Amino acid sequence: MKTIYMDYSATTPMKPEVIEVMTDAFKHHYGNASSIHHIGQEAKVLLQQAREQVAQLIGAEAREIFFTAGGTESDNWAIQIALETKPGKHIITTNVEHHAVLHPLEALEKKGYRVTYLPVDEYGMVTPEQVEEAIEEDTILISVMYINNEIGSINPVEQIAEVAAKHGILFHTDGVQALGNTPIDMSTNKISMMSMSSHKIYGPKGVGALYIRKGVRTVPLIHGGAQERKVRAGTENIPGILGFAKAAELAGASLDQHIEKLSRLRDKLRDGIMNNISDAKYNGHPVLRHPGNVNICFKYIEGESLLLLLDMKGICASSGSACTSGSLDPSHVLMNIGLTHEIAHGSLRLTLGDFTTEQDVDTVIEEIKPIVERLREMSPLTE
Amino acid sequence: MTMAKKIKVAIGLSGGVDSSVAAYLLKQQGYEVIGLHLKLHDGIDPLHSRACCSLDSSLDARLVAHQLDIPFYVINLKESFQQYVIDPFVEQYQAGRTPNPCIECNKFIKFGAFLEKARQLGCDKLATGHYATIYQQNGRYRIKQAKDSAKDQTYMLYGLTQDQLAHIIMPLGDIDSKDTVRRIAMELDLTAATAQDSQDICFVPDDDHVAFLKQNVGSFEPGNFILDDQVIGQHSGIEHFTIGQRKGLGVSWPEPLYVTRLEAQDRTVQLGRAGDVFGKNLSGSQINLIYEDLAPGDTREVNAKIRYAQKAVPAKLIMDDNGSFRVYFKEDVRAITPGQSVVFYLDDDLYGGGIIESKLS
Repeated sequence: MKTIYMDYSATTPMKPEVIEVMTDAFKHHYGNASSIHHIGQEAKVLLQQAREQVAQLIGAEAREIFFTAGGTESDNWAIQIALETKPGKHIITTNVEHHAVLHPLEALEKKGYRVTYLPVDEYGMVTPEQVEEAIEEDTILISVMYINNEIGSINPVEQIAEVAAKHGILFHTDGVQALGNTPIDMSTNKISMMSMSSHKIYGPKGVGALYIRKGVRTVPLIHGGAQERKVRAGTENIPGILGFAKAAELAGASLDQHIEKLSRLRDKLRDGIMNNISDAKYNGHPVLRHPGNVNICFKYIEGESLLLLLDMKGICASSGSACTSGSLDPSHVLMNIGLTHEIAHGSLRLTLGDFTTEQDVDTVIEEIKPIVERLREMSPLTE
Repeated sequence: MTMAKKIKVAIGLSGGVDSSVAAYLLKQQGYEVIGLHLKLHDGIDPLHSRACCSLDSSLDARLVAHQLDIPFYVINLKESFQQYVIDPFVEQYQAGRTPNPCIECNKFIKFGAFLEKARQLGCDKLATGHYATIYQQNGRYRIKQAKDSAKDQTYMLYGLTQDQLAHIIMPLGDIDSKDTVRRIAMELDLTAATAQDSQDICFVPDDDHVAFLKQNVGSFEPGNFILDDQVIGQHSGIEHFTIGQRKGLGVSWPEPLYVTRLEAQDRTVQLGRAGDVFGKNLSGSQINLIYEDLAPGDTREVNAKIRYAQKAVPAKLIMDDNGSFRVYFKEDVRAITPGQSVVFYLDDDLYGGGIIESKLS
C-alpha cells in the first residue's frame, strides 16, 4: 500500500539536502560553539551562518534570530518577555490560537493577569480594529497567530502590528504555519516577535527560533549559560540548527513556486471533494489561506472514523491539530468559527506539501467519497 | 486454517497479556486483524496504577500491535463511558445499591459502542481476550465457560444479546489455562507478557470507590444506623456501605454487626447479626437470557451465583413479566445485594442473568 502523506501542517518529511547537511554536522561539526579551540570555533561560525540563512527567509537581521527548541518554546518565551519587561496585567489574543499560546495565557490568568480572547469571524480571523478596541491602559502584549494551523486562514498581522506599534505595545505572532508558506518581510512590518519551527518547513524536529526585533528588550526563559547572546541558555543543537537553516534556505529559494503549486493542488482537492460529496462545509477563508490547507466538515459523521478508514487506505490526514488528537472534544477553532458540535465532529484536515503529487490528490478525491458515504449509511445521525 | 476471503476482525487490545495473545491467535488463524485500544476515562494516574485503561496500557497495546505487525488505533469512547458506566455507577451507590460497572461496560461499551465502531471501520467481527467460548447451537449463539475455570469471565457477559454475540469472537476460550497464555506470550517475546492481570474497577483510583464517589458528588448525606428498630449510631453516608459489610462501620457494639439493608430514602443503614446476612430467595430485573428464551411463568432449574468470585449453587428460576424474575436457592447464600448481578448456569453453559432488586423472605 502506497503512503499518501497529507498532514504537512502536523509535520513535514525532511528534504534530502537537509539530511545531508545534518549528517555532515553529526559527523564533523561536533564542537561546542562556546569552546575556545578550533573545533568549537568552527561550530560557532556555522551557527552564525545558519542564523543568517534563517533571517534571510523573513527579511530580518541575523541578530534578530534566537534559536530555540521549537515553536512551543518560542511562544512561551515571547509571552515571558512581555511579562518581565513591561509593566501591566493585560494581554490580548484570539480564541483560535494554538495551545502553545492559549495554555500559558490561561496559566497567567490564574496568577492575576487579565486576558482578552478576541472572538474571530466565520473564517477564524480578527481585524486590526477589533484589536485596537480591546487595548487597555495596562496592555503589555498582543499575540495573534499568523496562519491558523487548523483552517489555514491568514490574519492581517502586519496591520495589527501597526496598531500595536501605535500604542507602544509588543506584538507577537505565532508564525509556525506561516514560515515558508507566505512571504514574510520583517524589514517592512512592525512585528515585535515571531515564533518559528523547523519541522514544518522540511527541517528537523526539536529546533525553532524566536524572531525578536532589534530594540525589543529581551530576557531569558531558560537560564543557565551565555548562549544566544545570554538569553537562551543551553549548548546549541548545531546539527538541528544547520538543518533548520538549510530548510529555510530551500524554502526561500522556491517560495513563489511552492505557493503557486500548492495552491493549485489545494484548490483541485477542495473542488474534487466539495463537488462530489454533499452536505460538506469548507472551513477557513477562501482566498487568504495557507497554500496547502484544506479543511472540510462532513455532516453526519465522526472525523475519527473517517481518519482511521483513510489511514487503512494509506492516506495520512488529521481532524485538526495533531496536538489535540486523542481528545474527542471538537476543536476550539471550529467551535469558535461558529460551527455546531455535531458538524465540528466530522472535520477533516488535509494539508499538502512539496512532495504531494497531482496523482496523490486524485487518489484522495477518489477514496474519500465511498468512505464518507459508507459512514453516513451507518451513522445514527443521518436518520 | 485457510479462508477464501480474509475476514476482518477488530481486537480490543488492552495492553495486557490476554488480549495480546488473543490477537496473535487470530492472526495465526488467518484473520485480517486490526488492534483497537479503548480510551474510556482519564481518571487514573498511570504511574500509580496497573488498572486496565491507563496511559501506560495504551502504549503497551501499541507496542504489542507493532510486534504483531497489525494496524493499531486508539478509540476514544469517554463520553459513552461516562454516560453508560460512570454516571450510573455513582447514581446506584446514591440509591443504596452496589453496582457492577464491568457488566454495564460490556453491555454498552465494549460490545456496544466499541462494536459499533469496529463495524464502522469495516470489521466483520470484534474479538476480545475474555476467557469464554461462544458457539452456535439450535440457531442460537451460546456461551460456554472457559476451559480454565479459574479464569472464567462469563459472569460479566450475561448481558450480551444474540445480535452482539453474532459479531464477537473470544479466542482464549479454548485455552486450557492462563499459564498457556503466558507461555505463548513469552515465546513470542511480547512486551506485554509480563504485565499483571487487571482486576480493579478501571476508573476508580487505588480501588477506593468511596473517595471516587465523594469526588463526584461532593459530599454524602449522613444518616442513622438501625439495629432491631433502634438508632444505635450515626454514619456519614450510605455510599460507604454494601450488604454484608462488617469492617469500617464505625459503631462499637458487643457483638459483630453486619450491614443488612441500605435505605436511600431516609438514609438509614440497617444492621444485623451474622445470621441476618444470609438469604435464600431474591427478586430481580432486566433479565437477559443467552441459552434460550423463556416466557413469563416458565421455570428452570439452574445453578446461580450472586458474586463474580463465587461457586454457583442450585436454584430455581421463575420468570415474571417485563424482565423481572425470582430466584429460589436450594441453600442459603450470603449477602444478596441489590445492584449486583445474579448469573445462571446450565452445566458449563452461561444461561443468562439479571440485576438483583431485593432479598425475598
